[in-house]
Amino acid sequence: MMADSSFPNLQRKPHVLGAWLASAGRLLRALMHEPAGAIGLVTIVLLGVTALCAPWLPLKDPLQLHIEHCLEAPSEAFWLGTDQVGRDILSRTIWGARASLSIGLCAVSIGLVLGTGIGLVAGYKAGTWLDETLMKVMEVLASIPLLIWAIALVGITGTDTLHIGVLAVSNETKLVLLIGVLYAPGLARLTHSLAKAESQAEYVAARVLQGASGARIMLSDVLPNIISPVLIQASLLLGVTIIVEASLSFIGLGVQPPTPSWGAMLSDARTLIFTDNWWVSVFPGAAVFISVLAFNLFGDSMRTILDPRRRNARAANVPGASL
Amino acid sequence: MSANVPNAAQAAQPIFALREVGKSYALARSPLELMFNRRRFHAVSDVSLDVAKGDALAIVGESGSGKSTVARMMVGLTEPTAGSICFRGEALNTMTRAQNATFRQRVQMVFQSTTNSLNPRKPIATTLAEAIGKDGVPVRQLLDMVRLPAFVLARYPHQLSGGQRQRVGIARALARRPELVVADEPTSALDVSIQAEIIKLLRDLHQSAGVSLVVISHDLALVGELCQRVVVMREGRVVEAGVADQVLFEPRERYTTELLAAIPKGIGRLQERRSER
Amino acid sequence: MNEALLSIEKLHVTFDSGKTQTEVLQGLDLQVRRGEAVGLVGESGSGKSVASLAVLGLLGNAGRISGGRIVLEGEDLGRASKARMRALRGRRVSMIFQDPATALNPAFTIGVQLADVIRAHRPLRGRAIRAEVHSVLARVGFKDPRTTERAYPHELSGGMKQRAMIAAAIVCEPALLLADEPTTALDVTVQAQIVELLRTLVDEMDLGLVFITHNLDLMAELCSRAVVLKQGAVVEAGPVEEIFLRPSHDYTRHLIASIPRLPATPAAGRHQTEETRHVR
Repeated sequence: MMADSSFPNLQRKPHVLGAWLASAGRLLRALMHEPAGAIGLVTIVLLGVTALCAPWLPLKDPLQLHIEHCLEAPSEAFWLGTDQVGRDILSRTIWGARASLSIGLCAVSIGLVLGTGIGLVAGYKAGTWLDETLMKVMEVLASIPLLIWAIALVGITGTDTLHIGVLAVSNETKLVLLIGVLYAPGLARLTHSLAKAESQAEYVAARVLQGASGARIMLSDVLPNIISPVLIQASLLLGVTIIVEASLSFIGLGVQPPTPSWGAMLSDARTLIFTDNWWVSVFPGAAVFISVLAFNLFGDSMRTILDPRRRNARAANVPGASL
Repeated sequence: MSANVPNAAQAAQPIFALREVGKSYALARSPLELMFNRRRFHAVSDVSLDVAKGDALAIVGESGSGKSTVARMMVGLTEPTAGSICFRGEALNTMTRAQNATFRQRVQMVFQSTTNSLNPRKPIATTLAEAIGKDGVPVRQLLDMVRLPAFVLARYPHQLSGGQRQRVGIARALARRPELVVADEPTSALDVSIQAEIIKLLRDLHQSAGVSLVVISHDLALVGELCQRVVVMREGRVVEAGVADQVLFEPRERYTTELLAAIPKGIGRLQERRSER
Repeated sequence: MNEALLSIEKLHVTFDSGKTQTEVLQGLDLQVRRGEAVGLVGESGSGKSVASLAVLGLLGNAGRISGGRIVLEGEDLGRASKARMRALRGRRVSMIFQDPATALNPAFTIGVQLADVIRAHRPLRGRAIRAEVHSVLARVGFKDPRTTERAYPHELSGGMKQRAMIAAAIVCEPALLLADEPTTALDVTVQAQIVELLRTLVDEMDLGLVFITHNLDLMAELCSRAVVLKQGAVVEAGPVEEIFLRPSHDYTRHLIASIPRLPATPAAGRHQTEETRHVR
């Protein structure tokens, strides 16, 4: 390419990281106007940081039994009380966050990659047999209820670590794959309709006329323009995953004891929900509630901020300029 | 009906030769339905026309006339379901990869919409760099050709005016020195005063840079200012074709006359009406 | 009869967005009488559409009238309550828009949408409404009102949709009709038909019409007077012939010159270059 030194800005790819940081900065500023979303984001960050730093926080061992202190109400020694076998609920709740959040992130990532990938290809090639086949497969997957799928999978492979050759697939990994695969159809459907519409845009036709390959056009032209709603959906799914994991752990199919997880804690406390020992179920329940709420508030406000109509209002530098 | 107007100065092979080109779509939506419903919708039927080197050809028609479909088939964005399209003697659907690459370099398109024709997430510099590739026109020269100032390079499409975006679209089309540019309604989305500038730009490019033009439009008056040959389409078929002067001033077909009559005459009509009263 | 139906006096409209305020319309003066078509000409950003929205009280939350007044049949619309404006819209003043596809509700038939308008303003019921619907559809040029009233908007062509929209606008016999670029999205032959229809309606119904467009030639087909706007300010106003034959402002001259026109004869006014001469 003939580089013209009088145009220092002309590069093949502008600084991708710089562009991303600028977008992030704009988003954060927009978030200031959405108090609910800001609260959601702050909560998520706090949760994430706490969960990440759990090993270094001055917490009691979550697996340590203190039989002499079982079912003690919240006190100086045990801030959130203890469960039936005397384990500290505070530290179990914080360590439980690690399970819930990491499963959430991994499952949603798998769902994103799989679903967005398939939806993108199907949408770009809309109308062809490839599109029809891919979306039919997604429809079949979508028709499988999660719990049935989970029960079937765990029923077949058991809850122990599965050994396939040299691979050791732990129960958590199975869970993550399971949930991720089941998220794929929803994300695929969303990506598909967005990609289909965006592929009709004239700038895509212009790229075709330049001889660009389909893969390049899909990744570099179509995807960046449709990714926002998909990411919003994904952030909402993070909240859903926490509930899903909790449900599966509740029925014994998820994270296995003694590893703490909110669902497992709720399961253990199910006989105590309506008794005097309220703290055993309330705290993990509250943790689920708060995190899901945080993800929903954040995702919802992102949807408002990224609303294309607002984007047009920003683009027309004069309000009402199109009139 | 053929639009092949014999032309002594260009007796050589035409750049583009369309022969009985048609494009139809199945009305059935599923393979099952196809067994019972074989009807098709014909967007384009039996269109034949030639484009010679140095031509400025206009394809004119109202909505549903198939003119945009013909344009898209000419640049290879869709394939005809009938007939053949040849570029410099080579049929488009049998081109080898190398021939296809050459075709893409030689034939380009300028699009109608100014909001949709540039990637909103890429600055103009990137859009043009993609178009220029390894061996295109240096970007400074490209901007000069379309009379755009250098500051547009750092901007995003939404920060430019409609006229500026359309110029970028034209620059993108010209980046690798094409022989022929198909312009699909290049001014429809623009304000009247900007339209005139873009038409002037296209005319200059045709005359000084020697780029052949095929202009698709619904505006007969516009093409009259720009093109020497006119093809009139209606409901997928060619209704009339010939040299601009003949089509515009001595139309042979009634539809063409209707189109011409419908053009607002402005002050002329006003004075007519006054004298009628 | 000589009294102004609509009188816009020194109208200023401002849009607020966050901390910035932009004055989109700066002092517009416009009078329309019954039976008269007045053109409002300008390009994008001129504020022409804002003026009509201001008359109807449809500026929304971001826009407001920051100066001047709008008087309709002697009533100052700036003082009118929301309920009063709702009563006026459709009954005394109506509007038709540029894109008929978005102005008509795709989920309901034309007949249902027209009936809605009638029911909102007039105390008719049942068969009387159907008769009105047929009558107004026939008036705007539909040959078979019974079929049209059962059609959904997507089953109609652009021109037909525009006629349907005009039908909805005139069904309650308003005194004033605002037409915001009603023909811009239409083919040229259909455009001519719609303009003809509007002219007929102005004559037959003694309608006052404000015709908003960016096409001076088109405006001249229909209007006797016009106002030219540029970036919110009036640059020219007066009888259409004056504007065309003796434009007093450069911008008007520029607009007139920019419209692509067929030359009067083949030989005259064509750009003849060396190449085209050789071709001949």
